[in-house]
Amino acid sequence: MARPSPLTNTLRPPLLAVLLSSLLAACGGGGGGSGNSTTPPVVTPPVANDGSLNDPVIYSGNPTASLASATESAAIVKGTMVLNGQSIAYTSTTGHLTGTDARTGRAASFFYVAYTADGKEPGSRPVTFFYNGGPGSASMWLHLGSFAPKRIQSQVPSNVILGSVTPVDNAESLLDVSDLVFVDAVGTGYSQAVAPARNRDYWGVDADAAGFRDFVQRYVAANNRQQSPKVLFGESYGAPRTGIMASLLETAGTRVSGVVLHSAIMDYNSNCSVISTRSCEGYIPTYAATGNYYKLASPAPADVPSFLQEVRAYSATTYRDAVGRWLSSNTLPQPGVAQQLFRYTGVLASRWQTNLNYGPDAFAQELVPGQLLGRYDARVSGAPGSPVAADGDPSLTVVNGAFDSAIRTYLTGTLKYSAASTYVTFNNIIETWNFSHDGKEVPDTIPDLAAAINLNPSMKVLAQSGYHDLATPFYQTELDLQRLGANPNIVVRNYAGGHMIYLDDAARRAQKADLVQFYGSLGK
Amino acid sequence: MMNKLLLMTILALSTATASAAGNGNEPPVPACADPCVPQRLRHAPATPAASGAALQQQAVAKLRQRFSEADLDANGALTRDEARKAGLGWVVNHFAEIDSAGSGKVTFEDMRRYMAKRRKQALGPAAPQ
Repeated sequence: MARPSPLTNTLRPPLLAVLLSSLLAACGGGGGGSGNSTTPPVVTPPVANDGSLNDPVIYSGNPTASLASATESAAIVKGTMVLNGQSIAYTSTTGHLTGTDARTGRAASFFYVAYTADGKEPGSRPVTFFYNGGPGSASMWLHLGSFAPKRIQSQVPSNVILGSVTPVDNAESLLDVSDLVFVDAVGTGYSQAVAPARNRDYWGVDADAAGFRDFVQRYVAANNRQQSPKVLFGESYGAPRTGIMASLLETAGTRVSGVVLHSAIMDYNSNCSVISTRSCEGYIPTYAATGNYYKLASPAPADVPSFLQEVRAYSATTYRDAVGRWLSSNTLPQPGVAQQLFRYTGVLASRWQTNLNYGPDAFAQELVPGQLLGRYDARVSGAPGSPVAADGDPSLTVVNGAFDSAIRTYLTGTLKYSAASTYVTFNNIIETWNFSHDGKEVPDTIPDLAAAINLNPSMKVLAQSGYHDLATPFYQTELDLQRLGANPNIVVRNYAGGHMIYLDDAARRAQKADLVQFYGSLGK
Repeated sequence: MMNKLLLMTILALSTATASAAGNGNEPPVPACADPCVPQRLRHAPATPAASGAALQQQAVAKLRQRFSEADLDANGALTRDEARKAGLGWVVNHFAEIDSAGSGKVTFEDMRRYMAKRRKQALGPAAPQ
């Protein structure tokens, strides 16, 4: 039972966990839900000799679900991996920690998986918190696709639907530079609100970010990570969540050394696929990069970076002016504008003449005749009606099923954690979510990031985007971040990939290299 | 509970199937995947995206609001204890530096001065004001 690793010692002796859960069980803890009279009595989670945990709780993603109480137990599994020729022994910790709002007492039991290198002083290494977005997505994409010790091998940008897969050792894991914590939002994975709070109390831009703040603070306290540089790593909706979290954590006195904004949408108000009346200027370079991928740019650019630089400049000047007139008064563009956009992107001039504010849905359907391009990765395509196009996004369809089933077997098989309910990979809560923030109907979180930088001007910001992502276009992220003004701590990197950049092997390697540099630049 | 979860899953699946069952060559509408907002918000009114000095003003206003919320006696200044009670750990951690006069309380202006000083230290003289 005695485990020599510093992690186990600082986390809590397993015996204490058993005692604690018995006490809580005596208070009638367990999985609860609205009007649910069939909640089973909680049995003390057995912390087995092999570190496995059979959590008897039934977790629910229902809006009104609420745990009567929560335990903080976890499965603990040892592993080793070789990174850059160096063997790293590490501990995987899978379970729950309760994040509690210090002012209101509102609490949720957050499900997380932490990978920590063994034998290191807790304060000596950075700790990074990863989460996907949605809202409503569990963090399985980042967890099993990106920089954890194990990952699913995908074949992106192939349009072959991935079959059943087992995660393998990840040569691009970030475990050599940081401890890694993957955490699920309330109502996803196995995360759930604790009474009197209900899941839906966390389903809003501000409430959600505050909950994540509380989890980070709890993790830091429970694992003695006060001295570690803290990094927040959010993807998609996880990026605006990060902006707000950074501001909330800094305010609360938890220093955030760096944030990684992965395929970000910092300002929902600026994205023309979210709000169709906004200029699509942020998308034009994505269209050009993708047109070029399909060899539709004319003339074929000799040098892609300078080509995209030219398209950015065109988008920010000629196109912006023309689309402004189009949106305000339906003024048709000069024929030369539509012609130029055709040469850059391959989208026919007649289409630009019909709708100068040409959105990504039309682009995905029309760029290549007889093919639907992926929203998450426009390089992945399929014929409408074919299985790969059946869900509307071929690039999601090629990986969705494989990730969905792999996370469940991975949690129980490799991480030795099982609960009495199914892991919620995606919870369709968009209609319930409160998107308003700072007086706007949909969030603009650049002011939050600015506030965080005011509190910690040394904070490092790394934005990573994919050139072929039709959901969160790279140039829009550049425009959003430009609002912060010149700041050498803000770095933008783009890759030949989609929304989940890391699914592409070459892109993931490039991301890793940039991340290693980023971690090297962190202050405390 | 289990049944509810099951029902939700079935509902989610059937929604996905329904959207996949488009007619003819009409491509199916993808499920509301990240990032996504409900239809009713797709026409949110345009609001100017602040940058530069206006953005800085917004950021400072946000911090000022947190300060004011913590200032329960509304005297325009926070003691260390007030800051702690309000969860303003940042103020607590930097209290002595913000309160350079050693008065035992800090105003929001003290806080602004301290932030500007640190910005200059971190980002050099070219730091945005």
